[in-house]
Amino acid sequence: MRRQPAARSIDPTTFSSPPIARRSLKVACVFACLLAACAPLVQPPASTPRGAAVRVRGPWPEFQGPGRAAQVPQAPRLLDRWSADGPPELWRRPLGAGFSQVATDGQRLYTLFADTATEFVVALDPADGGTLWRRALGPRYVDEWGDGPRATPLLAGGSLWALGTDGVLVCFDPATGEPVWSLDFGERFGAAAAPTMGRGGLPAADETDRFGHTATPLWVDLPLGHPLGEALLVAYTSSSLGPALVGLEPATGRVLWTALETAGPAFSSPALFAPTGDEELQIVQIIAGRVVGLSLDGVELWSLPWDWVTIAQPVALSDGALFVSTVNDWGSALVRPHRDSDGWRVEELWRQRRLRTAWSTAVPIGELICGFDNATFRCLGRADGALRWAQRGLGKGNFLRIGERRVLLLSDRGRLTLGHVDDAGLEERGSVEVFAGPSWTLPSFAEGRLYLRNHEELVALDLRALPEDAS
Amino acid sequence: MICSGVNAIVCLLLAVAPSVGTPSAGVHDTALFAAVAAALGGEDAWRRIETMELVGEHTSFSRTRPFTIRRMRPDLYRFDYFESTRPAVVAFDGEHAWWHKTFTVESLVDWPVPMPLLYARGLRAEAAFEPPFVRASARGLELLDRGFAELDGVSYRQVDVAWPWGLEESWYLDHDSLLPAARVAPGAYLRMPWTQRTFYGDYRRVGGVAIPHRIDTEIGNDQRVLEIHGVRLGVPLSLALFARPVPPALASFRRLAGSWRVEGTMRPNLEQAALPARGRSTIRVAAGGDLVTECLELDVGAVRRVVRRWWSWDRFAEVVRVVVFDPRSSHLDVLDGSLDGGPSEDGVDGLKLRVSNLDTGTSWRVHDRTFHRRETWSLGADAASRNDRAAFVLELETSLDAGIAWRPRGRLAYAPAQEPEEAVTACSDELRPLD
Repeated sequence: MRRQPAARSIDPTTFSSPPIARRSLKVACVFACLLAACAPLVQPPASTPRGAAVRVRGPWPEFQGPGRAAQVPQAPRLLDRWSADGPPELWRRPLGAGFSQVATDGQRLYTLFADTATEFVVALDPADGGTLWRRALGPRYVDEWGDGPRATPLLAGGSLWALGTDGVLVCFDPATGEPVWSLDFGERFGAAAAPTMGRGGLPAADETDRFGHTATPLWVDLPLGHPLGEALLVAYTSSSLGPALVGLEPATGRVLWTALETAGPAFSSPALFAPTGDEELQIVQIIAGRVVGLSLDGVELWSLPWDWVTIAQPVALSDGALFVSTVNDWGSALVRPHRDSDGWRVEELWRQRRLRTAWSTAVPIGELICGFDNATFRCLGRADGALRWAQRGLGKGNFLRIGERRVLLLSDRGRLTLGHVDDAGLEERGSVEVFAGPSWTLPSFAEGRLYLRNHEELVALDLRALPEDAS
Repeated sequence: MICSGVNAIVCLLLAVAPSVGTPSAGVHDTALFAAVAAALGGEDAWRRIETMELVGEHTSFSRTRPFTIRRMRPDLYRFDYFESTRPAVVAFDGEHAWWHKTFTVESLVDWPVPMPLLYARGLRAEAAFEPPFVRASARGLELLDRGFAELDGVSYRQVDVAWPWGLEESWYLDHDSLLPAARVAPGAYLRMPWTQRTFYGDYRRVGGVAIPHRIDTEIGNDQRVLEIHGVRLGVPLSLALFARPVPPALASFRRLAGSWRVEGTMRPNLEQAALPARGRSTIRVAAGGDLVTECLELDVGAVRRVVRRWWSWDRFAEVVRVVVFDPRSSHLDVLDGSLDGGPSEDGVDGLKLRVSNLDTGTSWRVHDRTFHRRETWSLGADAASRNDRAAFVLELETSLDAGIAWRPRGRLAYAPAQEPEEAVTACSDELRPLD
């Protein structure tokens, strides 16, 4: 671990908001963090790492939702089946290009998008989708397979963080959109800026350099009395010249530690993982060729040789196991990192090629682990990795789980399907065409509503059941 | 569910048959294969079709765009589609596969090029005019019935297919219709070998044959769906449609391929008088047509020389580029120039190529003198035909003043070899001076 100096305060001229004093912002952010520290603890989703109780940060506060798990354990009463028209559409509004998911603290919706020239973070009114504020993040990232930002806003500690494809991380006040601090990964860590990563639609020489900064930062509630404080922000810089993973002080952006020197671009985001026993929480990051486990102060503990290009998130299971999957023939593996007398090692529980996830992350459902293998939805037995069943016809999609068995699957061409998963298969209970074009972004679920976006629109659907519809 | 879409009897069979899920060693079930061929329309119906054009929508990476597939006997194939927003072509001309695409790492070349072998093996099977079950034996295919097999929870009849060029794949037949429902075959994706899964559905009869109107392929990270909206049989198609386009300049030189007698005069150097020169030349088309090579074996006086040439077209500079290597000097010369004149009906007469190293930086330097080289190829200048008169002429010149004045070095006339001669082999061995 290397201690680092503080991040640069914001240059107000970069943003469309009025200039503000750094000190007052810092105070505001610290105050917000303190407020967050007082927030109640809730039980995480079933697959969230054991012991990783998280503070309430909103119903869908970050990439992949609570615990980055693409699942919510509980929900208000929802429609159990849909009519041919699908669930009611609350509103639909234009939105520019981007893959960013919607994050929400329950008061506002936040996402990233790009207009013809610029990437923005935007706050929206959940009631009607109206714009509350928006702030520039950097130039529009251009790629022939989809322009715009990749990362998702992060809500935690009373602040909002947004990372543009150009590699500038900015902390905002979520209520006003006032910037608090910013950190330029290129300037600070030597990370390649997006223009050399294929801007203009021209593929880079190295495919792994191609998609700009994609990894959403991770918020970590530190254990009581931890020397780094109460919370930590972990960000992937994509640097090939310097540290690729950094631990930041949330309130200031000060660099607390650096790790994974010259690891280069990665497509998946850092995640939390709780090993077996009394071990402390760990950070898991998939980089080119490896899955790496690190302590909360940035020390590399273990490493698993892995595919060179992995987009899907690692899935931390509640029993100290970790599921990783990639589109290439590495397939999927269930591993258990643990410490013995010789130090940390990674036990491989099983590995198979029947489920090779691309940009969609697998989700545990009961004793199954389910995901999209290209355009085939497959469920493996969690115990042995054997294929339990498979179903085609859903497109190549994303999905999330609500409650124990309910799933919402969004095809890559914009069809949303409601289903119920059990050990025998998927029962479809309705579907609706939400978008006409490519739709690769995981929908976000909050308080009975589903928010879906593609490169053109953002849509809110009401999934709640009327009393007589309740299942 | 595993049994969804499969009737109860099949489910029962799945439950009790030990062979399910683990295909048998395989048998040559002639009756089964004949039934599959009949389900596809039968040999006679297929034989009546000479050309086929399919149009519809192609989805790749979630984007849907129009496509056209054209097929012609024996196995000519051309697929015009879009990759993202860019038009792309994948084709097989009966012997060679080629493509024109600029999708990321698969190909950054923005003109038609030979398809990498990794991809071409699979394309050749897809280019086959008839399905593998039609006239299989006559076409050299080997089919093996593997019995019941499960693919993603659905029971099929599995038939393994071995193509004459070595590609092996598995087909999965629908129990009821015996129509091919799926194919699992070696493929390629992002320059890596991948197993490709293709699912066929929505079969419709067109001209008596069964054509799937939905073809859904999963490979790597891409799902490629062809939704066929129209099929036309017997459409007029030309061979040129399937041939890989090459630059017109090279097309002219490709016609020079063959064996030639060479006669003329050469000055060993600028200070000496011209000597008789006689020899032979072999000109070949290489690299799928993108390169024309010459091996010239020439006796000048008592000295034998071997000169190698390569002609190519630089698309960026829009020049014909000739590379000349003379083992006597061990100097590689690069000459650039352009074709003037227009081709007549045979595409050769009247064309003149003049190339020099004035701007290529490869001029020869001796002591304080710099020798520039210029070659002028007159194609068909001395003869209207390729009989025993010269078909084309090469004039060689040298300049000592950077191209202000050119001095003649030699003149060689190429005429077709009278008898089929052995190709000049001097260039196939290690390059070395023969004198």
